[in-house]
Amino acid sequence: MVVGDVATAVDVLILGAGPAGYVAAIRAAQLGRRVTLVDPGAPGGVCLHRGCIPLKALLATSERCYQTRTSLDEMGISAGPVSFDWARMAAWKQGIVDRLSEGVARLLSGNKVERVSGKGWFINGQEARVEGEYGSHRFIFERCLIAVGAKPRSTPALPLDGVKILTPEQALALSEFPAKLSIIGNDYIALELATLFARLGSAVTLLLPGAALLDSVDPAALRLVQAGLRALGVQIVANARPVGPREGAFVYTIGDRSEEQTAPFPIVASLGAQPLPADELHLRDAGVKYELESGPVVDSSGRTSNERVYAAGDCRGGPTLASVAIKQAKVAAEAMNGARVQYAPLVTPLVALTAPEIASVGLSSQAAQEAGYRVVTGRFPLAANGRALTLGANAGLALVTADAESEAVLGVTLVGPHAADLIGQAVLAVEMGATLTDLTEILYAHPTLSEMLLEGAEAALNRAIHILATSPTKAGT
Amino acid sequence: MLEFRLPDVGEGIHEAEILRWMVQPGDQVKIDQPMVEIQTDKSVAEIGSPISGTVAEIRARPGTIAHVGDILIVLEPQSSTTGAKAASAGAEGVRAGGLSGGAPLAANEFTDEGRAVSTASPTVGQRRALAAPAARKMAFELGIDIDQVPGTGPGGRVTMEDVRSFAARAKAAPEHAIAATNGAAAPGVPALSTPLTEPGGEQREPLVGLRRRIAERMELAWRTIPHATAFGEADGAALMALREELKPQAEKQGIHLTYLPLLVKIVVQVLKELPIFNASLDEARREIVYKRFYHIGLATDTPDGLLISVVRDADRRTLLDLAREINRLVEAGRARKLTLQESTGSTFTLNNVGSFGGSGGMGVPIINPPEAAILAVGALRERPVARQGQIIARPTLPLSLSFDHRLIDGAGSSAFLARFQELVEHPSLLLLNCY
Amino acid sequence: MQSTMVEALNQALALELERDERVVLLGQDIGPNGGVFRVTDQLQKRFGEQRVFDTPLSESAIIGSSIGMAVYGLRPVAEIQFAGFLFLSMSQLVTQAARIRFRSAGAFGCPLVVRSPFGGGVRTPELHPDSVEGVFLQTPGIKVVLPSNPYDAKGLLAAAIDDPDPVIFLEHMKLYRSFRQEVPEERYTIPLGKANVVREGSDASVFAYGAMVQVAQEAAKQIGERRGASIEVIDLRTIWPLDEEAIVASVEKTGRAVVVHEAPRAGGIGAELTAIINERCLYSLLKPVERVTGYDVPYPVPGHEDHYVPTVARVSDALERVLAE
Repeated sequence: MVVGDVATAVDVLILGAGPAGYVAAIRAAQLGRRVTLVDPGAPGGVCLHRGCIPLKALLATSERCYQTRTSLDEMGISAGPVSFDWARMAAWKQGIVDRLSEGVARLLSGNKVERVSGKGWFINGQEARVEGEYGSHRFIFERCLIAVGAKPRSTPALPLDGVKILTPEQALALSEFPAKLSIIGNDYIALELATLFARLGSAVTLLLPGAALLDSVDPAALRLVQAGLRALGVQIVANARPVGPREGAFVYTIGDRSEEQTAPFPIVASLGAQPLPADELHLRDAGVKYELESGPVVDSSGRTSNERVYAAGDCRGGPTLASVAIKQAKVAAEAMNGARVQYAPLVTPLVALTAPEIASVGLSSQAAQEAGYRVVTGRFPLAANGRALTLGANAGLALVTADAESEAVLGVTLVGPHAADLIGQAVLAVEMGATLTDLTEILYAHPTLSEMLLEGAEAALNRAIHILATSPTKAGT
Repeated sequence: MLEFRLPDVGEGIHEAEILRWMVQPGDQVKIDQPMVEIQTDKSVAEIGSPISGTVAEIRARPGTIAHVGDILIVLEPQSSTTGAKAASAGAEGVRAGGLSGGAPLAANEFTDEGRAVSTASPTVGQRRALAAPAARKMAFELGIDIDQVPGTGPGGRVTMEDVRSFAARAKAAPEHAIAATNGAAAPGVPALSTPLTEPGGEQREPLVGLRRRIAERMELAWRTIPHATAFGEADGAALMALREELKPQAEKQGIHLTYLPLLVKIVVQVLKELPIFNASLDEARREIVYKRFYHIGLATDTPDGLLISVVRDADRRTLLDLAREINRLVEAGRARKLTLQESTGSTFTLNNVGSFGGSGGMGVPIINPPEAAILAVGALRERPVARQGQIIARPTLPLSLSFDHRLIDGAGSSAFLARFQELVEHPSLLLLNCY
Repeated sequence: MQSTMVEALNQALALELERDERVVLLGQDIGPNGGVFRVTDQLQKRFGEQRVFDTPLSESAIIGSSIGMAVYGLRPVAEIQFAGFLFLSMSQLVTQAARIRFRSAGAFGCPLVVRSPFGGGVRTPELHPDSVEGVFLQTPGIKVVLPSNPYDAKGLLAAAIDDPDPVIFLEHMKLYRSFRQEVPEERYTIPLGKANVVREGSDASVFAYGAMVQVAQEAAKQIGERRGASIEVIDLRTIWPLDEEAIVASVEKTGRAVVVHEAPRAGGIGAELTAIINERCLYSLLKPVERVTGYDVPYPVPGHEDHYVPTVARVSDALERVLAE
């Protein structure tokens, strides 16, 4: 505006154009609303620009590099020495990011979503101010979605400085390839970073806050992943307690012991995320209740204590997964439009593109027992799957956990190539209340990795074909 | 334990009289098995059991009035072989990557409103419903707890149809097992009243059952609605001729054609032209509610008293439809087999008093609340009329129109009667407006 | 379709440019820039430089040349960037435009429309928010129109352009984009000099225009709930000529009147309405007419303007006073 602070009425105002923001924008537009989408940068958020996509891109490049180096010979293929140019890898990664970003921008403009550059905050329960490069706007909204994401968690022992102590995003954007790298954390990001850098030849030290690589995942599966990391040369330290940065190295202790250990810089802190402070959005002015640790308080559809304002994605303080953000965004967009919907999936799939990949959904065997079920678990090793061997892979397994009484499938864990892509069938099975019989009655293409699920289920019924049963078969089953 | 409460079936019905129980504590019941007979405003209904199980305790005694929401009976559900647990499945699957120290993430979106409806903290023995995501979504949309829905799919799976019919049942419990009782076998009613003979020749009978209902409604109508009545008379020759003409065709199609369907068609036309007669006064909000639907109540005499049976959407039925429906309703009314739908919800009432004998007309009918008016039609027979200075005998139809004087004035009632008369005397005019 | 006031005005101008080749638009930055508030957005592109063009920064030149065009047969619609700057063209407006028909005994007319944004509550610098309609109330020969919503704005602007005499068309900045309304796509006119009853009532009448109409409606609603009173709200729409019949009819019905305007108090529309009521329906009045207005001070700095512009609370208080026994 030339002069003055003239308010503009908008219909649906969305703050943040990451996976939650842009998906909500498109869904709301599909439902006939007029959407105004605010973000200081290009649409796509952390996921597209600095997180998921760059990470997966570099995992792919590192995998090709590693496999070309190590596994061609046994297949009878010879090739010359393999090297990589980190800068060109980064450029390739950026090319993909740009292409996806343009794609999202096209989808937004095709859905007639108005885009405003800037950052927004609330003036009152019905108005928000957005300030950006091109000036200041004052919007009166019918509905508003908070999708501003979260920021990486830092602790006093790990003060992020962008040079020695990095966030995962910063690690992916390093301009020089690190010869040594330390990582502290036990989420999929920590494991994937360890995998990617180790494959390209970095000396990686992985510090786990607890005993296990990942929480709530079957130990048998984790053992395979751990072995895979070790084979890449990753040093794994369990029960690491961070102490702090010192001159030249990062100091930590192990368990209850007091001797100090050191890990080389740079160290990546993958400790999850914490919601943005409420002050940043002036949530109080909007009448939005919030909690310090978990962000705005919402109901099952994502609506906050201000009935015009909703929240979706990382800013809600839950697991920082784009799949969660995307679904919450769709639910919020539909709820804003008056539909009676809720975000209430029974299960959330968890995947890590380690080597081998691991993917899990639902209850692990132990968790199911703790929840009071009588449990039966089928276990099928990857080495018995024909397709896996043709891929040159032999470390992996399928674990299918079911309720002994009803046969309902409670959880599935897959370790092996493409586990992350295969877990979808298991997610559907658990959500639909499929039984072991349901899984074993249908046809699976052969030879494929999907048969892992079939044989895992058959193993739970004690009749997997391609392994020898370890316990007597039940008569008449 | 399931405490089954008297559901709200809408249409202003707030209570029901418990007539008799067909089960007793300790009995095993299957889902939908009839368990109790109740009487709502003029209709008797059966309620079936909402679940399979055992009767633990009967709370509502026969002869008493239960209000919507009162616990009627306590049932012990049969333990099912279906399902697995609630909420824990979700909560566990959440733990993506831990934070340092392994502190669990706040799984607030997983133990939220939607899940809390079933169980917030699952205990061993609690089963979660096995249902596809689409069925769960529909349940939430309809405001039902899916864990309460009995599943008819394989392995006790809850299908979309199960969700839908559970929702429909929850809305209209007394209707769903409507196998109305035989009027003669309303055993609870006479059993409650023991006539006493006092010295001096007095005999007392409690006001119960249908008579009680009628009395209550008459009190309400007379007390709250300022009645005024306008009288009229229509020449019936054209109507008689028309019926004679149409009757043979109707018989060929199996329908006995009386005057009533013709009168209903005429009255619907008049209501369309004078909408205030098809309206109600919302006394709480002081608003006149004009209805755009036409449900015509017909008064039917039964051994127990006057019943109103309702022809729904009378404006959308052909003459034969009306005849068929009216005949059916009259039979059902006489047999005390009317459902709630068929005995309430009228927007205007037509009372055929012609068959009662006597002068066959000219009474003051009482309005059926919350309607705005009621038309009583007397016996169609010859009476003296004056035509061009001569007294001759013509078949005439006496009309008495009682109306709510808060909504309608004399001019309005005259307009109604005039138009009704015009259409009775020239029924071919109906063609101008029929579809 | 749902339109803001800016969009509605743009539609009106486009329709007039299309149907009447005598219509021309001129003003500062209205051409390629589309006007500082984008009211003339895309119009030069559609209709060309001969029809829609920029002027130098000289209000008297803008108005002066518009008068010349009008007298010689064109229908100019001149934009003055902010109403406070109209004063720089006062001589042209008052000495010339207002008097041409009078001076020439009807031989010449001046079918000129001057559009200008104004209005408080949006934190503009000095002179930009000033309300000037009172000044033109005292200038015979000039009509003043002030719409309160997108639908009215489109119809009134078309009528103003049709009008054979000069019209000053004032647009409240706060209303430009703050809400959308259903506006027909085709051309329609709303007659000048006719007020609009936006809320019927029987206990008191509130007369307002521009951004104050929403303030009046909110106060009417609150008083309605608080006291059970039925408050009539009338949007004057045209400041000169005032719809005296509507004013009188309302006061005769309710017997109590409140006038609301942002413009200063002395000699404003409130004063004029009070005089009209005095002359024509004094004996219908149960209480003196209340005026809720801006103060007789220069328009304050942005930090203080919320104390100046009439608020819902001030209007409600006035209603309480007229309704009190």
